[in-house]
Amino acid sequence: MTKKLMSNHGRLSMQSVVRLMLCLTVMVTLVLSIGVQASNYPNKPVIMIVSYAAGGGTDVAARTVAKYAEKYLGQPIIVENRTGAGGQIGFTALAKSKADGYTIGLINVPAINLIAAIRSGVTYKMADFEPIANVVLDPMVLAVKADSKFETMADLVEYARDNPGKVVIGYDGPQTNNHLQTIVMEQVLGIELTQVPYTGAAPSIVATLGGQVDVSMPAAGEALQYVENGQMRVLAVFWPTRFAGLPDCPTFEEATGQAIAAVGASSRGIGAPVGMPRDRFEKLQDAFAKAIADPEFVEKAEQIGLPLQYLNGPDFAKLIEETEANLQQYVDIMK
Amino acid sequence: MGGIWSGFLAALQWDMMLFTLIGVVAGVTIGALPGLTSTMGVALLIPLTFGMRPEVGLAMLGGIYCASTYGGAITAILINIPGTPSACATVLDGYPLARKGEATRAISVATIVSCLGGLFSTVCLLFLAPPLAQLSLRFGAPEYFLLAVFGITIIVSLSEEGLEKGLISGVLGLLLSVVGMHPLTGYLRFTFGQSFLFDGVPLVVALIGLFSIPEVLELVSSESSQSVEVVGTYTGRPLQHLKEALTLKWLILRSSIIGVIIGIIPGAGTDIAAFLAYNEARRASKTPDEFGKGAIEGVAAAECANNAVTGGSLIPLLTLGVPGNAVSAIFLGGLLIHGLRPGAALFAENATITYGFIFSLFLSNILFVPVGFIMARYATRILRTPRSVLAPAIVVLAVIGSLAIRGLAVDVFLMLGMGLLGCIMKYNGMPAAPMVLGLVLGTMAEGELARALAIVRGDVLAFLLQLVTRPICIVVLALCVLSIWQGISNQAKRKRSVGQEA
Repeated sequence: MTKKLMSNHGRLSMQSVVRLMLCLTVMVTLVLSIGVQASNYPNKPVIMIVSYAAGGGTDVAARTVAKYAEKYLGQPIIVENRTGAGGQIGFTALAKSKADGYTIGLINVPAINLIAAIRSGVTYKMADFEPIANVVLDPMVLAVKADSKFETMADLVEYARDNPGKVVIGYDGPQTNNHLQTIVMEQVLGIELTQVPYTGAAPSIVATLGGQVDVSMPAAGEALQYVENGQMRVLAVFWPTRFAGLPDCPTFEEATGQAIAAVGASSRGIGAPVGMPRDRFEKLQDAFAKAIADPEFVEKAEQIGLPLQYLNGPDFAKLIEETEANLQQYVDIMK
Repeated sequence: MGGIWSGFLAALQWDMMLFTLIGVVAGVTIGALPGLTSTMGVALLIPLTFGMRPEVGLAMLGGIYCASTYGGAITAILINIPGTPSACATVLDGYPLARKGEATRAISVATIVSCLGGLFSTVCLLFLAPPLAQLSLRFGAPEYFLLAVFGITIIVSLSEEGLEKGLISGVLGLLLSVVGMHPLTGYLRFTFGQSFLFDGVPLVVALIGLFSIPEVLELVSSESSQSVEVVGTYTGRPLQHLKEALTLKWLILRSSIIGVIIGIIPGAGTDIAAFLAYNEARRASKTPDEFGKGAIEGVAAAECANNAVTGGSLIPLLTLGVPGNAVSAIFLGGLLIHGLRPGAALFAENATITYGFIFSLFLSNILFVPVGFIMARYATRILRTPRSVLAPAIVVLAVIGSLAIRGLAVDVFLMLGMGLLGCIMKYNGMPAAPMVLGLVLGTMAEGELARALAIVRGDVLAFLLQLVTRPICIVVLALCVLSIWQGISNQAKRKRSVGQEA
């Protein structure tokens, strides 16, 4: 009897020890996994909102950088195109999404500022975004068809001063950064051109090559291949220094002797809704910094014609702030 | 010539063929599913091509492009939803044919002529690219404006039930196309402050709503049998229709030429080509009254032309670096990412890649034929599905499709709203096709008119003078006048014959 009890007792205690150990294991695993979760962000795919259509310049840039950032982030990055309203739908979606580091997006400067400044009823403001890294910086250029009668900027300015409104300039579309730079150029040079907005970069370049317009205002990266093919010439680059891909093309200041605000230059960077935990911000900033420095990425970017300009989060924020301040004076003309 | 030969050999390598096949299978699926378009398909798969050899990556993208342009026909014929905008002229006769029990015939012929149209355009790309490319640069705002007007004149021939109702539908479409940003000034019109309307009514969403919802309501409201009434017991095999398709040789040639030309013109897409070819087929037909009621020529013309656009749109891209439409704009990215710069040098310096890609397009256009035939063989079974299953299935497809295009939930309601409009129009005997035409061409006509006027600084007289002095303008203007005149005289003839019968 005693023996039986003993053995019973023994068995019970064995059972409870096993149970206790199981419980402990489960608890330790749980606690550990929570700890791991906190420090091991990200533990699920990160969504990257792109405010422009799949296949466009911003989309290609986003997908290319995402592919390399995945490597350093340790999780897949899923590009989600939230297109519409010239980017407003996507930017709004990014501003309103959860600040947990699992939703990031492409920030297009100055498009994102222009939308907020020009339109009424825009529900995001620049303070809603946390800039993480700038990837691309593409200045505007003034381009003509290869056989144009305008050989230099001086030819154009002289002709335009004598014949106000005779020179037709084409650009990407109304209320775009190309439009903005055109207005600023007109003001600085004191000339009046006839402005014709197209529906994107490609149609305005076709119009230039076909001689439908006299000059056009594309981004340097977009004009590059046509210049290298000998179909187009660039009269001036709207940036303080020469553009790496177009070393023979003068800057606006070199060509005209006048300084100009490069407000049209198009920056494409990574941002997130404001307020995510610091460690997650650091992790993202670090991953994108490494991706942009990756030699393989640099080579790919060069092939696609993406002019790279890395800026870390705070520097990118400064760029956005400066742009915001610079463009206020032109908003009324663009409306 | 050596370049062409090495390209031909490159196209015969196993990995080229394999990835072309993968592209084609993906493409047919993307095309057939409403809400997934060729543009999205090509754009989403571009990152996959980064790691491939350039010609293999391009071959896969080419497979998607050709096959998705064709794939839209399957859904258009079977359930009256154009799978992509390219198929919006295919529904006009494709679905009536399916209702007559001839879905197998319609899909088989569509498959064969799509293949032939695609092959024709690839031949043009291979041998005539440099001279044809020059055409793409000759189109300015006045030419585009007239082209849009020419497209709009087709409303006359799409108005079966009487010109008045067709015109009402067409004008409603034009009015809807005005919604959103003004193309030149960015001024917002009829958007009620809602950002989802800033770009106007999205074409794919409107197409899905207009065509699917009225059809679903008709399916569930008819009292008759459980499945769609399939007149006769038609059990043809797809290959039997090869001969029938080949008897349409002049139609195929005409539609192919229309497709290639529209493809070359930057900014004009597969939907416009399909409508123009449909119209020409109807004008040339001895039985134009059959169109809209299930004429095989209607399906053939639309499907042949939209696939002929594919090769055409690559002509300005490869020779000048100028993309012919949205899809070829993405191809431009695909070329650049491999360090290939489009232009005359591409054919000389990268001959193996360039010609290898062109030869893979032949394969792409051929490979979707067996896929299409398998669909055609079992197509009628889909139509024999009980209405209680088919109708909700179509609604599910319509909802997912309208959600997929921009990822906006509000688009589903927009689709349902367009569906309601479609029901009202159908109840009143108004055709939906003119409205689609108005939506497709309204934006183009308005934007190009504004642009043409802006270039001449608002001088209306100078603009009108351009219309009768620029060579391409004169040709298109003559086509407009011819189209309207023939349309009106046909309507008059119809009225007379109806009068005599009564």
